[in-house]
Amino acid sequence: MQSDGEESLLHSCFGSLRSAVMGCCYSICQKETDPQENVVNERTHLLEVPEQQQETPSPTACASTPPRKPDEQSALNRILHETATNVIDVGALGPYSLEAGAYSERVRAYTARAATAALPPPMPAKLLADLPPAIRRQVLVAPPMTHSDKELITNAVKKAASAISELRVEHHEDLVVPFRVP
Amino acid sequence: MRLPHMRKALQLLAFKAIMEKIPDQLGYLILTEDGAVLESGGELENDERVATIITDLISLSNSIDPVAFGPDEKFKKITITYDDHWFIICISNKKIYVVKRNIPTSSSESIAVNV
Repeated sequence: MQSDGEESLLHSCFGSLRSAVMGCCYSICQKETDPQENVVNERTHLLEVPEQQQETPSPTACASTPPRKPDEQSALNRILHETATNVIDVGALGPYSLEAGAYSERVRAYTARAATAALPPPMPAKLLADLPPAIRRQVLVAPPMTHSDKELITNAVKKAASAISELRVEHHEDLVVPFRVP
Repeated sequence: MRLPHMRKALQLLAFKAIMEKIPDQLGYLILTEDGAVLESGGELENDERVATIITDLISLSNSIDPVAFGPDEKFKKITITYDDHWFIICISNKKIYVVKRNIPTSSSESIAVNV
């Protein structure tokens, strides 16, 4: 019984390993059939490696790394040159000064744009009054609400809540009436 | 060039002095009318969450029934009371002041004996 169990366990392990390996091979093989599709997904290469030198599993990688290096190097160089042409080095630009006319015109244009894009002013509080500083100090040091006040409010609100929940509709007439079309 | 910094520092000290004079205070927040934190201290230090809640509460109170509360009927403060602490909220100089204060646990308050 023991050995049977172990054997079946081994079989299931081997089976899952085999399917994993097959899954890897499948994904590698599938890449070769997709060159026409230009869909950008998580599998698209960042470096444009030519078709015949696609990724191979590790045992064969050692044999194929030397011929792959110059292509990788040229790809890296290409990326480097693209970045160098696109990057604007602000620090290296040097001192830049605007003429007085251009400066004032820009100030005018920017303030006009900022005015149109401004946020609406915050609505002032309607229920709370704006207190002068003396009263504010008084209010902030005032003692807390008394227990009796708290009880009063709680009871009043409970009664109001129960009263609202007791609202009922009284049916006097039929809800459905026939149309009296002559 | 140092003057605005000094003025701001003095203002901060003045605020702190006022706030720390409040008895039983556990923390405080001073917000702009739209909820940005200007000063904070104690348990409410850098507490943006509470700032947002208080600002929402105040904007909620702006849309109350105008029949129940007329335009002349304004209140001085809003308090939120819990068992062991309470918040006091008021507005002054277009700024929202929030102070969290402690409720001292004294048995005499909770027991009400009717004879």
